[in-house]
Amino acid sequence: MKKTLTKIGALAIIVFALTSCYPGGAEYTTDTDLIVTNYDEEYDFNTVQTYYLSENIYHIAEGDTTTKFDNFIIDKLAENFSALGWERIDSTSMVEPDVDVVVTVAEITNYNVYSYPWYGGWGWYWKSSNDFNYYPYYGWGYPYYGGSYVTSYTTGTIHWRLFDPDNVNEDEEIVYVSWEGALNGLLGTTSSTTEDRITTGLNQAFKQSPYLSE
Amino acid sequence: MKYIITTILAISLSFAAYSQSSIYSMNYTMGFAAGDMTEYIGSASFRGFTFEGRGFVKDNVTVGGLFTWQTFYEEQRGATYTENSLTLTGNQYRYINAFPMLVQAHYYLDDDQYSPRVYLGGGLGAYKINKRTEVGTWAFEEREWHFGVSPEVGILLPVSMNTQFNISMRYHYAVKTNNAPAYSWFGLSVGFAWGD
Repeated sequence: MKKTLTKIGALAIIVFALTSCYPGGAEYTTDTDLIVTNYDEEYDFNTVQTYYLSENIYHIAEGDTTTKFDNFIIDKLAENFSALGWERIDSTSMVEPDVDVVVTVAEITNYNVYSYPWYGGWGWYWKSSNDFNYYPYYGWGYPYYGGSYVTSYTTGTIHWRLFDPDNVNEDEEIVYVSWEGALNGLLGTTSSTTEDRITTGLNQAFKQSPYLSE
Repeated sequence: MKYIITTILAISLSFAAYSQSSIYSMNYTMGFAAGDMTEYIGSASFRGFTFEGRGFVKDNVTVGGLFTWQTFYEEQRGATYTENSLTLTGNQYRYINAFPMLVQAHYYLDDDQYSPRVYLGGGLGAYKINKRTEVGTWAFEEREWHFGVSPEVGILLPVSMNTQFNISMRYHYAVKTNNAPAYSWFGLSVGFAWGD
């Protein structure tokens, strides 16, 4: 009996030592930041000398949304465009800009439903990611006697598109985007952190787009 | 596939249940990625265990089964990736959970169970490999069954009448499928073996 218990104990120690099959991962909201850029490889950015950047940001949100970072976002974008040597054209100017830039901010709340078995601690649980796939992490056919709870998190996305007003298909009403970028991540709680993340993200977006100045 | 797994588990558990002329072992297993797998995760894995059951069919030959769970993990912070005109920067959290389930055979250079016994052998069977990449708030996952083989060398060191200390090194190779690449790694196991 003692020998059997020793063996069961050894197995239990191993299993508990390996409770999580997904160690590590993101710990802070900043760990979730993602910077994506894309561009039209046929477009010649060398021809760009002026740009128009609207002061108005289009917001997409399910409920209330904050506009307190709008000016900050516009200023940081303008700083980076200026660093390229591009001149910002005012909306009252009679000069037509070479390119226009429009910015959208989206806040999307994602909901997860977690279920847990009564024998907690074995690491069998359900978890969903916020993409369209649903990844169940389930046990080995044990009957389910657990409970469940719901969590939510909100992601924020700053998305900008740069286009040439002369490069449009008026018949089909298509505006061809020459360059676009997006910052995406979990929303934080402090303004200073959010501003730091916006600054870092926008700077990185321009840094990883060397074709803008080549 | 379910029948193969059931057969392997039944063989393993039957040897475990009847300790006469059999050995079963529980091991802590470390994993070291090899081949093309290192391009995805190069870090060593210190999360793994192996459970084995072996039955003697001759004085120095066993057949049996094996189940391993090995978790590989690697974090890439602020890495930039470019695919054609698309460039992406962010932290990536990469995971591979590998579950080899093998039938195997071993040859023992010495048939005296009270002396250190070096053994050579190997297994073949099913590898369930779950590969998951988390980037930003997104996750991409690939879950595939592979066929694979695993040669092994090890030694059993007696510590009491029915208990031995086990050390082994094995190479796992899971062949590629239509949807997933091949995976290969070395597994170093240390643990205890019981049986007559």
